[in-house]
Amino acid sequence: MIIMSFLPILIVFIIVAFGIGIMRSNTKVSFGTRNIRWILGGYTIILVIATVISLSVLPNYKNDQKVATAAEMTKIEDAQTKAIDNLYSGNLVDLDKSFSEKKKWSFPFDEKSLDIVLTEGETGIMSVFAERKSENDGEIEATYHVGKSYIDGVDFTDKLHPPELLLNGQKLTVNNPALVTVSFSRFSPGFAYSQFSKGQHFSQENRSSVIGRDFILLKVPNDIEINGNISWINE
Amino acid sequence: MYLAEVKAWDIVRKQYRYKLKSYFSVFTSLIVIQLLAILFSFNGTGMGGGTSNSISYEFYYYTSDIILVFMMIWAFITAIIITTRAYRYDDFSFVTNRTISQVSNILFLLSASIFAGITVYLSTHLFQILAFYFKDNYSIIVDSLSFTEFLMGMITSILYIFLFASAGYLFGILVQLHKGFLLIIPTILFGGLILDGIGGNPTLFVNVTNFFGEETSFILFICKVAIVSSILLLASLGISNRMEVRK
Repeated sequence: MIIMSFLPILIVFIIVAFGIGIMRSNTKVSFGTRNIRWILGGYTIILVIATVISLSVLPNYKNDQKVATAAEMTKIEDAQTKAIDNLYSGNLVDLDKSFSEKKKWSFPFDEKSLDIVLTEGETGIMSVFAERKSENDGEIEATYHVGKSYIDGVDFTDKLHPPELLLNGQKLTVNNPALVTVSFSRFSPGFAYSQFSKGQHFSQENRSSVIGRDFILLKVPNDIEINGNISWINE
Repeated sequence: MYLAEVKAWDIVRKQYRYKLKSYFSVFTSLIVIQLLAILFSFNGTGMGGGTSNSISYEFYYYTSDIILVFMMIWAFITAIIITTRAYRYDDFSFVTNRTISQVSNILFLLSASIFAGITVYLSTHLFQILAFYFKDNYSIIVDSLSFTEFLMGMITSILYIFLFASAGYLFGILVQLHKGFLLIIPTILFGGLILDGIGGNPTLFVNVTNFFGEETSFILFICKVAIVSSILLLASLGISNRMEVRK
């Protein structure tokens, strides 16, 4: 590892030494024109073959989905933050615009009170909001809402796992989802190819990430009492 | 009236053809440096990562950036090399003058830059396909190019390389004019960068880089490179005309 970190300096040193050496030698470095032609021709053929293989194999992994620009991602992140702020203030304004429902649960419930236990996992504690229904229908409805997540401009929202909800008597346990690990290699043209592609799929400006917010929204029968670390909507 | 009427352009053409053959050895260094650049690019030319509540991510870029930068350095050194005495004296095998010799050198540098620019694109594919087969890629995202993007990118690569070749050529000519420039130019260059950075807010290098790198109009970028390269090469031409025939 240490050797690898010194390697670039070493190589630059070799290149500079090579250049200075040639400048001072007053003689041309030559392997013979015929040999150089063979080397250059062979190298060009290898490059052309590699390009043909690359152009026929790699497009199978082409990113077909639209890559979000930095501006779009900022807009999405701001909209999510605003919607969450609205939730904490007790209203559901613009919720559907910024979040999608990833999973729904429904539990029959005829107890007087509900204890909510939030299990702290490797991904922290889930935010839970609750809203009273207008009637006592003996059913608890839970919805897991998730905002869009972009890594390097690519949408990875589908990769996220939903949490686990378990109802045992009057105790509702919310187990946080397992941490999702995403690793990928991005084969991109260099800066010379992206310099004039402002806003295009591989433009430098797209290279940022937004991790979507998530929460659980409970709809509970009108007259039950809830104990636990939750925030109420419309109360 | 002469038995053989000689036109300047004919001599330039002949010298250019001769130089293409004679300076052929510079392309071996191109191959070596390009292979080195591929080696350096192999672990990815950039990476990013982070962790949030629900997701942990890391990604690696495989781009032509390192290869292109290495080719710029190659062009800079190659341009210096062809101004050295051993190469310059070859010109006297022809009926020539300073201007003709310089123009044929510039044409050679342009051809070398075009070849280097094309091989940057091709060698990027070589290293990407090597990375594809020999590295553990969890998942791959490939950003492909449209024909226009490809063409613009190729021209941009060539222009960047030619810009460095022009700078190297002027540096080489100055050194040939007086060996003192071998010390003076790096001192001014690095001294300037250090002085610029002393305040903690370096602007010189950033501004020069941004002048070309942040240009979003392709036409303006071509104009910028053409103007700067022309200034550098015209200065070389002017200086070399003041040199003695065999110095």
